[in-house]
Amino acid sequence: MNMDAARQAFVEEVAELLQSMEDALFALESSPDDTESLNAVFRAMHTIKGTGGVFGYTPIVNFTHEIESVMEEVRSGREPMTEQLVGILFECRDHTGNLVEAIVANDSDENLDLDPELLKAGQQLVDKLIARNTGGTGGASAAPADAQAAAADNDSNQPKYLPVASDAWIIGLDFGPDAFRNGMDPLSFLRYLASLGTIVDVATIPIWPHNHDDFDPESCYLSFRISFRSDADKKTIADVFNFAEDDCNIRILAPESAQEKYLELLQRLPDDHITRIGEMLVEVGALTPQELSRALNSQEVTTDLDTEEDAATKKRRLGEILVEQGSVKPALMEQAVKTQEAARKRLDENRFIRVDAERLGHLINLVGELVTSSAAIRVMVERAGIEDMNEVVDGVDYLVEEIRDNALQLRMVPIGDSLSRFRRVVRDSSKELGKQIDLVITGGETELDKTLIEKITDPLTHLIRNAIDHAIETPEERQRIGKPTTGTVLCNAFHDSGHIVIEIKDDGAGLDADRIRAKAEAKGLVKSEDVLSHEETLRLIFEPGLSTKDTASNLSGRGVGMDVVRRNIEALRGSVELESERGQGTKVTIILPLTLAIIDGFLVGAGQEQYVIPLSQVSECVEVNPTDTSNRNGEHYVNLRGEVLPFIRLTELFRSYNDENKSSRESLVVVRFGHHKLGLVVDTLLGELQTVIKPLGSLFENLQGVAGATILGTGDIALILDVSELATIGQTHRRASSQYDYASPQ
Amino acid sequence: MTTDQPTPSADPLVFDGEMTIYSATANFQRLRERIGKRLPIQIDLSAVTEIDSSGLQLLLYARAEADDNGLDFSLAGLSESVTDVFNLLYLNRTFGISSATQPETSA
Repeated sequence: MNMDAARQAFVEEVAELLQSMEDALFALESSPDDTESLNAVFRAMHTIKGTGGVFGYTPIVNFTHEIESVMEEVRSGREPMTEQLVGILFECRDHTGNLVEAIVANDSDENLDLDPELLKAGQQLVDKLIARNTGGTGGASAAPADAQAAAADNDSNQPKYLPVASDAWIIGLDFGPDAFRNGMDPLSFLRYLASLGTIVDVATIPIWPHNHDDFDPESCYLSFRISFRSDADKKTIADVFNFAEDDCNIRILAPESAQEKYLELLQRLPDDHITRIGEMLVEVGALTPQELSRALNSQEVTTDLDTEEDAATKKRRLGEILVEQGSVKPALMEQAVKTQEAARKRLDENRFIRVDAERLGHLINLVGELVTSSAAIRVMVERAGIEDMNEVVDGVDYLVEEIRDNALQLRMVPIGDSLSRFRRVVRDSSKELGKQIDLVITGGETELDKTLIEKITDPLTHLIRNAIDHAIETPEERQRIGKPTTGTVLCNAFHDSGHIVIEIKDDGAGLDADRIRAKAEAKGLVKSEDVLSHEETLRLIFEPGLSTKDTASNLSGRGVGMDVVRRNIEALRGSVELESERGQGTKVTIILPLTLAIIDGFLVGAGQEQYVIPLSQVSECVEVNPTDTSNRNGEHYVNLRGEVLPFIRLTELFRSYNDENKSSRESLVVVRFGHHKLGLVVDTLLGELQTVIKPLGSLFENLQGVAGATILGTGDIALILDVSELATIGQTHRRASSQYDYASPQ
Repeated sequence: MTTDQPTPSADPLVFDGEMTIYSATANFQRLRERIGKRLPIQIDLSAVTEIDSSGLQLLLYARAEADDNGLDFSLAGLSESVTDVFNLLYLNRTFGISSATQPETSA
């Protein structure tokens, strides 16, 4: 791995760690004692410090060290986790991110001259941490005593705090009543044991029957506690009692020195040897297979209904049983659990491969070509009329389709990760504005093309900031008008007919249509005599230069308006819809195509041309009877089962008439987008088609109604229609007759 | 035979030969009789050639019964095999044998 790649890996690791730290901090805000989260924060800082050290990024090491120290205190219970501390830690998390960014941006390894401002900010944070420290525990003199007490309480899981045991094995043997009858002589085991080392002491404990008269001289009532010193390992010692297994409860507890050895072995256990906790302990020799199976047996007795999701509790239970059973010491179990968790994490990481996005992009391009070629083969075969090949071509088609779906799937990621980053936006900005806002995220598992997610983040951030800044009222105001003091911003994502829909909904003040209108008139966007529907008025906020908030706050109103949001989304072949009820809230709905590269299309012919309609938007195809259609001022309507449906004749729109076909019947393709429906009248229906979207290039970029082009199997080019844009054209047509001029591109 | 036992009222109980699981029941019966008669429990082990866990258990039982019934308990004449076991299990304390007297055995 060269230095650049290593650095890149470092940056990515830091990003992940900081993300998990942030998640943990959120958790700590609600439950400050959550050990898991405390550990996560500590681990994040600790790991960044470690890796930063490898690269020699001293400022990172210095800074994270301070946080790590504080977290260590908190983790061990010597310091309480306070809301204030969580706040500072949030800042520290950001600063760490900034540091890493700055250092990595500085590029060369030696050049560590950082922006003094940045370092100053770091120092201030450290000061804040320290100030909180001394202030929090109420005087320096009290602190050490507290610390000691806390150490005794909380660090008991660490070996150094365990009561010092003798450096000997402790062996417990409880023989069953039938031991003698089964030919067992406990003494012989002890004699054999003595040959392996020194028996330091033995306590012989007979457990007599409750009524002494029930004593049976042929039954065994003996138990032994043996203190044994030996260099033999646990397995060898356990083997002594091999034959007694059935008639004797055997416990072998390793001496302190062996414990340390086990701890070390556990830490060094290679990942591929990490399986179940019991097996790990057997592997390092801390546990014998017999002890394990005994524990597992007793576990089975207690829990019959172990399901997969129970795995975690099950593991803990096995640990408890083993400790209870006296097979291992708690400290060892702790380490085993830790090692196992760490390894699981690493294995989890191994389950994923980082792939350069460019390679994926290349793959998808190639798949696109493959789709086109396979269509070409089909055409050739049909043309040549080779019957035998049809089946083969079908097979290839099927495979190509599978490959296409899988290739596209590779780039799909759940949107939840990027939505959850808004929690931070909401937290920070609501604090800043003194508002109480909950962000509710639903549908986070909805998958979306990664490239789309990246491009949608900015508009979404903007919309959420708008909701916080403009929409949600202050707690006092909300109380006055009888709303809950805490406002809610709802972020929802779901799939809908080949599209992904993202909704940002707030329960704030809603949009003031009158003010929007007034502003738009002042800016000359509409004339005072224009009649606009409520919806049309609201949509004016998507026009450039319209911000209804008079004072630009820190958060929004920085000139990046809703027009940019709309433009960004439309650039992704998506659309935005807006609903707002004064006083009730606003809902912005973003509709995006699932992917940018390949779609299932529906091929139609109109005039001399062929067009592709995204199949997901095709709702039905019907034959048009000329008597059902009406034409009013250039607007076409068709009576579709009693419903009035506006339609566009593609031949008219693209002025591509084909005189020969003039008389033949026409078909109506009903398409839908969002809640709207529109009819497209075409000459022929040519069927489904895998469509590789080729951008039209800068020359035709602004062409409305066309999303791109695709190459057909015949080598011909077909335009891909953008249904929602066509609808807009239809509407505009209706308002201003024939403003657009579409020539058929050849 | 040991003679230094301070129990004039009865002869010591003599276990000899193999004090193992095979003789456990017989030995136990003899012990029960003695306890039933509330005689002090004096046991002569000098002729024990072999002792196993059941034998040892019987001695422990005798010790416990003696305590429970308020009877005197003493062991006399530990054979080598008995001494070995007592040493192995650190049982001399339990049976009131000082480590000084422990090696002193009569065969």
